[in-house]
Amino acid sequence: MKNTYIDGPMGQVHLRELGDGPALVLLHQTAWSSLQFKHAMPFLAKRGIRCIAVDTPGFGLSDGPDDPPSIEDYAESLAATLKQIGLPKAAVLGHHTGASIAAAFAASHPEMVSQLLLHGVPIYTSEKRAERLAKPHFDQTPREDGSHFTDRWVLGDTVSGGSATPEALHWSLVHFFWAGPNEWYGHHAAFKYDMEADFKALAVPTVVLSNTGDVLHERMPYLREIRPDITYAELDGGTFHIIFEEAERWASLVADQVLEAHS
Amino acid sequence: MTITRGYAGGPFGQLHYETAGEGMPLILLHQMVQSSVQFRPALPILATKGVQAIAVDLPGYGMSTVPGHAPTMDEYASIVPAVLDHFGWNEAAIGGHHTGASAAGAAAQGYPDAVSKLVVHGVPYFTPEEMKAHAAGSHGAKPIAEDGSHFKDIWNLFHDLGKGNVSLDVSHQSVLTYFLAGETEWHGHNAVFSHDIWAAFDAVTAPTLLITNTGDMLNPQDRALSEARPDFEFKEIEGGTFQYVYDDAEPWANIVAEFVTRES
Repeated sequence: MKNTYIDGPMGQVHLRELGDGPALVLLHQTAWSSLQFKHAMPFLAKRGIRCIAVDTPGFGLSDGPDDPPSIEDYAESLAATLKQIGLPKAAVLGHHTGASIAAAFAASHPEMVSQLLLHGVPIYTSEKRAERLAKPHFDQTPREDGSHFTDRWVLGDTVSGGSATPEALHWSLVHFFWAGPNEWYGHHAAFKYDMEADFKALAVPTVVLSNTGDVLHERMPYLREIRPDITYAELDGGTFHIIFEEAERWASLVADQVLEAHS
Repeated sequence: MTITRGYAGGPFGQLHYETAGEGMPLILLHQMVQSSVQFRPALPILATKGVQAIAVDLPGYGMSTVPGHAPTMDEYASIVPAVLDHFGWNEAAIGGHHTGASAAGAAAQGYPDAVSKLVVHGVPYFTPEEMKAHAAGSHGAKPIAEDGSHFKDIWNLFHDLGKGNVSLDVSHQSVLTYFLAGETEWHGHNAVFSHDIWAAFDAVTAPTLLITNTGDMLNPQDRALSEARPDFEFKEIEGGTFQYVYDDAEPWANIVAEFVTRES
């Protein structure tokens, strides 16, 4: 694994790279970082894929913006990042908020995307988005007794329906507090973004991935209805931490799709 | 003053560092179980005083590559020439705090031509008996608990060590940084307790500033080192905690910058 920094429009961007072959850019969900793909990257690399996992600005080790950015701002940062590492065109995969950024990137820079892979597509109705935007934020202020950690743990465990592994909950929690206000920036951008318009207009080869245990899986019938022409693939079960928890199974499906499109 | 982060090649893989400004080069080595993050508030202050500090994550800590074996203190010290190479410098001042102070001393011993000045704060200058007793202590990293209680345990550890005098933000960041070290978090302390620190500090020829603060658990060891090396400049600060560098960055950086930039 080789880590690097490049200079982007919001400051330094941190990347993890592994493998040789056709390039696959990996964009994480909120509030994680490229570490979300740590377990999956060796499996992808073994299949002959060059993985480039990017810390979205404000997450992991990438500098964050001063004000809440839009999904399009994150997509522009990605364009600058890929140009700087000499990658004019690549397969781009995004998970949850990462999928929103990937879709916005494919919409604004289709010439830079050889294949788009979206896992957990956050297309919601405008009512649902407004409802999510209005939800109160978890108070990250450290408390004398350390209960800010344990309360957040319980919340993470509850949201995953009690089925996430302790390791995934652990790193999810560390990332949540690392991100500070950017945790909210990421979700804010995702819920402000009208992904449906970009999704309907996508003009690059696209694969939508899902796992039946993911909170966003229920959107699959609607996606198939509005874009019956693109490829759909799904995995049974899993949580919204499937990439971290079931790296080999996930990477196998992704590698199949990437290598098939590349051949 | 903007902090820039980067990676340098090192003896165990990638070395992650943070730096700010331009001026007299100063390589900073952190305590256990932390990372360069503990110097983040000090870096911009040092920069305004004409010091370019490079705070390095020791191998296996922060974002630096985890070594395949538990390194010796001399092996930790061998990152110093690697960092100098990366920046194209022949020499630099080296500063270290706790385990980082032991590593800085080993660097001054091992690379006398590369270490122009030495700054150490909270030196684990134990007696041989104390070293043995500590070495026999726990090597256990905190495993991830099903109920998340490991966060509370590490929080309590940092919070209790500070006797309520460490800021909540610093304890909070320290807990997050602690978990970056993972299962090999014991490596640094292992090196401390198996190192011949007496020979190392006997051999130091660089002009040295020894900082201590009376609220730090290593204050008695600093005093012992000051007795062994009365030629070291000795600066004792009243109060403070083991997080002095992180929590009281401004006075700390002022003391360090004055020494590093002083004409000899």
